[in-house]
Amino acid sequence: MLASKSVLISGNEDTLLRLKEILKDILLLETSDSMTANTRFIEDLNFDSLQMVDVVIAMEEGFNVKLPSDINIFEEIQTLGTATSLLDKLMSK
Amino acid sequence: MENRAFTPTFEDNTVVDDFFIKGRDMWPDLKELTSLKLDRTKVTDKMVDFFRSTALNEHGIVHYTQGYYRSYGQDYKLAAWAAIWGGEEYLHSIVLRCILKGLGESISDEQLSGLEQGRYEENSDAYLTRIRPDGMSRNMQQLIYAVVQEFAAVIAYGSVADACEEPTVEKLLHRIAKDEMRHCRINQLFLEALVKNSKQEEVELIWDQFNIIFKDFKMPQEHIAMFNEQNLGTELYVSYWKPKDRSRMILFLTHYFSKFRTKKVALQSTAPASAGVDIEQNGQITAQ
Repeated sequence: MLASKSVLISGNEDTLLRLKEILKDILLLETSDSMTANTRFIEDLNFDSLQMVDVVIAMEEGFNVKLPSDINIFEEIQTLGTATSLLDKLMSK
Repeated sequence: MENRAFTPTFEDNTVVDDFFIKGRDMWPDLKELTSLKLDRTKVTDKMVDFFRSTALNEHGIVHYTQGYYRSYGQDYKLAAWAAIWGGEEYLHSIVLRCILKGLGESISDEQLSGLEQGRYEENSDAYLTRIRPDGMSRNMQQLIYAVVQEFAAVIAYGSVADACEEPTVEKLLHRIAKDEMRHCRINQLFLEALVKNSKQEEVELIWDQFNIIFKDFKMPQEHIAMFNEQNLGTELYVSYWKPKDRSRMILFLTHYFSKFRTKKVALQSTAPASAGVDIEQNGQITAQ
């Protein structure tokens, strides 16, 4: 349902925007403009594997969800895009 | 903070007694393990090094239990747990030495004396003192470290079991991992009991202390020089950790310690106001 004079943005993009803002704060960046759905946590944002604790906390507290304990975060949270998909799936439950 | 007022954990023996009683039933076949016949061709040399390292590390329980006593001495229930824990880990050392014997391998006298004469107390106490924040008791810090360490042990034994093609060894390693999970759990119970009796300011330090310990994690043997001199240190263990193991460790410990977090990540309402968007109830946003 499109509002008058509005462009509908999917919930997925909303989640991505929110995630970028949270990560911007964690990484002490001035802007999140350089982040896209293809941005990789480890290779591009320089999180090492142990710092993924910060990503997990950001996702869980920032979106009020709990990541299942049996997922492999290094597969399901490789990029902001895959993280966004996971968050959308968890929030729809 | 060594002289701060003593804060107790449990007032009765229930948790310690339950743990002790269950532990007595975990290895009824211990005597049979002394005559294991194992297939050496199914075990790599690197795995043998892992068994040497863990057998020595579990044998190093005297160092580690003394460390617990230094931390827990005033709390009789915690000190009792330290004594029980020492026995259970020594039992693991026996099992691991049985594995080595069954494979036709052994621990050298040099390795054994290097362990026993290691300067663990000095190195470990210096490390813990360096990273302990003002306002946190040694009891609480040691329990945080113990939860992380015991879960790391779960992952360490489990990851080598997963890689091991010798079926008896694989089963034994999984059994040890199960014991380590029990150890992790009782440390959690003690930490939670301590938290109940502690000031809020101290509880607020737990998450950051966990982060410091976890992000620079080293197994306790790192404080004994022999392990690294013989290439038997933490790196040997971590080399077996697959991404799924690291993920399990991160999620388990994050989920556990996040319960003590007081400063939560702000729940983001939506994109920046400058983007000119409104949020709707269904979770979609519309750009103006």
